[in-house]
Amino acid sequence: MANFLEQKNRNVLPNFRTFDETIGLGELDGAEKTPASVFPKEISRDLIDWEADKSVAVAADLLSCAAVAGLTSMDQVRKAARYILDSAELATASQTDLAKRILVGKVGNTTEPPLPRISDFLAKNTQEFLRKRIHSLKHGVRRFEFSPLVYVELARLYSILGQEEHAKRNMLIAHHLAPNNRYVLRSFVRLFSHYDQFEFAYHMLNRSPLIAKDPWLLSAKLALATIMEKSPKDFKLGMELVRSNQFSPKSLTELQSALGTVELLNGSKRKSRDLFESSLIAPNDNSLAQAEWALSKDRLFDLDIEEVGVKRNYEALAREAFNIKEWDNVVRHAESWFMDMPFAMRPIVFGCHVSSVILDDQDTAEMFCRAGLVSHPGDPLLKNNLAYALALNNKPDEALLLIEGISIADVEQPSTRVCLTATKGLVHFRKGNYPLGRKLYLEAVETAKSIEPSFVQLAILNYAREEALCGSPDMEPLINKIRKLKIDPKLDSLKILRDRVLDIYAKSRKG
Amino acid sequence: MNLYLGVIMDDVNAAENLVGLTLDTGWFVFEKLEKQPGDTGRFFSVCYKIRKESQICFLKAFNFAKFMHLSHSTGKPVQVVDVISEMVDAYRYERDLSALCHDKHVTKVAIVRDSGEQIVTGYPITLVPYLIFDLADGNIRSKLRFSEALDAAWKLKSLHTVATGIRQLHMIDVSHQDLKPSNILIFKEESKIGDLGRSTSLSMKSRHGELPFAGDRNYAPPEILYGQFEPDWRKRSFGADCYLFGSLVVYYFAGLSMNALLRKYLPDPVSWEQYRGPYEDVKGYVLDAFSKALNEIEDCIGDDFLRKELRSMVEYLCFPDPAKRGHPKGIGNLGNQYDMERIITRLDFVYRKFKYELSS
Repeated sequence: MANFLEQKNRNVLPNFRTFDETIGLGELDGAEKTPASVFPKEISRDLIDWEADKSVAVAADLLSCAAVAGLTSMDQVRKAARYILDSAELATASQTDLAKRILVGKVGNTTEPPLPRISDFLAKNTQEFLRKRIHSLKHGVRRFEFSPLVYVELARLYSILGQEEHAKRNMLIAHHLAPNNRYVLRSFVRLFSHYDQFEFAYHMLNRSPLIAKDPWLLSAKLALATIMEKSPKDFKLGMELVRSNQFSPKSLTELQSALGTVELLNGSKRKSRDLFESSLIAPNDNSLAQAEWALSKDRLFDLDIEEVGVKRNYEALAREAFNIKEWDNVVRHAESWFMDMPFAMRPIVFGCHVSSVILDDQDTAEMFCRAGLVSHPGDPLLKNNLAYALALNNKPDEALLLIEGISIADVEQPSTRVCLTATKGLVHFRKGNYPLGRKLYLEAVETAKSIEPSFVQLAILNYAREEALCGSPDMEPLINKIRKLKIDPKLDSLKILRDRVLDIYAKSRKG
Repeated sequence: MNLYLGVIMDDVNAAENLVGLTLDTGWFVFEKLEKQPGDTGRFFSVCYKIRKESQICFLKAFNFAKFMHLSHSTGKPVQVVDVISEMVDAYRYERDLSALCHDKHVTKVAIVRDSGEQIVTGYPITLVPYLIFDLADGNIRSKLRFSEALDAAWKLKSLHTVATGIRQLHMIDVSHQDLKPSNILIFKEESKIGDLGRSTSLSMKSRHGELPFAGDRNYAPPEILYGQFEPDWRKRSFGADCYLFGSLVVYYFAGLSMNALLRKYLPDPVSWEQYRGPYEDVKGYVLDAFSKALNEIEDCIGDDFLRKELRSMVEYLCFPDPAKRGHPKGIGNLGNQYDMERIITRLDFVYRKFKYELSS
């Protein structure tokens, strides 16, 4: 069986994307209101030269200066850009490219690559592709040994490949090179949190003097404190930053969201609502997802995610679709959520659960699990979920091969141990080895009792489905027990699974 | 800024009306240059062709109106005498610096041949200080052909000369500060550095010498654009010259300045236009843009050997961290890490090898 019953709290930990993507989302915008430029903008001499000498060399010199000074919208500059494009055969590729950028009114780097799908991610032989990218970056590191961004990107790629030690080492180098860089610090927090090293992430973040004045960093610290159940001693500082009127709503969104989470968990509903509502003035994908999570806990206010218009809001959309039971959309958004951050576990578990248990789409569940295993190659829960999907798809040999190598006793999480035992039972049922399958399922049901009632229900339902499918006699007592199960109304998956089992049983009796 | 203020004031400004005059130094002014071939300091001056016996030279008359206009553009109240004083200071500085260069055998920089202060009666402002230079055929922009591969040998030779000129200046503790395409002059086939007007010197004081960067800001190294100023004059100024020379290499082959390429790859929020904060915090982003800019420069160079050599050269000349800028063998050693000697040697080697490969 697949585990999907754990309802963890969500926190506003920073997301970890490429530098370009993070910039594109505005998370590296200047936090504070800023003084005027050091230098005046000046291209008068270049304009005079251009008027006197219409040539590619002079036009390109003018474009260079205009790009640096931020004066590319001037008529003469645009004319010079057109001149270069008209004389493209005499110009370099760099010159024509800059001319084009000036004419479309965008000189700086703002490209946002399209998001691939999981099938592309898997079809491209991802690991090979990522290794080539790492090789190329390492070559770059030799040339730019002092670029922290290269090390951050290496850490990100290693984390996607599931190479934890390499990922952490590269992130530590990046941190050493730029200990006060917001992008590096936020990526650092996310990576070490990903590996459950919350205390270390907290300690390193706390060393930055920017903590007291950068809301993007303070929000991360508050999120870590919440996860570790530390006393939120920065709460007061956070509220001061929010009230200081020094920061844009965009800069405050995650901080307000983190503060709202603290209030929500403390039971201060009104204060929490106010903070979450403020966080949605100019939200990012993270604060939006946090708001959606908070709404799943308590309907504090109404939120139309589409209306908010946030880029890369896949997690929020997936959560919203889940809350309103639009299952196909859950899978669609979970896929985008994962492809946005291909090291994350939550979108995989989310997508796999809905496709496997609710939609009975084992091919899609299989795809999610395989994608997740790229970044978590030895993860027993993912392997279990994949074996579960394979077995339900009548590929028991493949499923057995996958979980045979796992020593269940060594698995840390009790819930995962139960799942693995049950999935082994499922595999043996599907292989026709009913007695062994039955024995394993009953063992799983017994062990599940030490976890929580819904887990026992899940194990029983999975077991009953297999008995019904193989046409076992004397199923009536088990079916009666299933009919009487008191299922938590919030757990749609269990309700759907029960209906499915009863349906299979009814059909088997008719047949 | 009003570009036409100078034009409005032409009738009252003697510097604009010298054609037909024979100066006290014996030079006859016969043609006003609307577009002066060398373009040196044109913004502050009016330029003419002059003749004495069989020699034809170029005269730069200091333009009071331009000085007045620039002084007004700061927004602060200014006195006419202060403006005249500033103009005369600028004139004297360039004249005396040229004399120093002449005495110290600086051969690759276009320096003043003659100078004087002409009184031209009949105008409200009668004083016209002037400097006389050899007449250039033009600047590098009139010579460069970006589309022709064969031009590469000539470009390398020109860059070698410019690097030599920078080293000659550094040897006498002068930093040019304003190396840019329009300031690289062409005399027949030879290149020379022009316009010492914004240079700074350890031994000679100038008004602009107190500025962290005296040259054209649009070419300034990134640390200056982000407001980080090294207090040590030699490190700050020679480091800037090193960057400016690297940017010239980029212009010769890619046709744009290094700053333009950096800007292209810098996301807006961390560009020097928008970002306000320590350079240290933004350096990572600049390095990232720099690595992409280097790739683009490579794409503009067809020849494999040249591509590798010039990429490497631009990388250490323009490295965004001034502490790591300069020839790798010079970094961390005693002395000047921005010393151009190794670069001159390398450019000479590259030039010879490329020319040999071209001919064989």
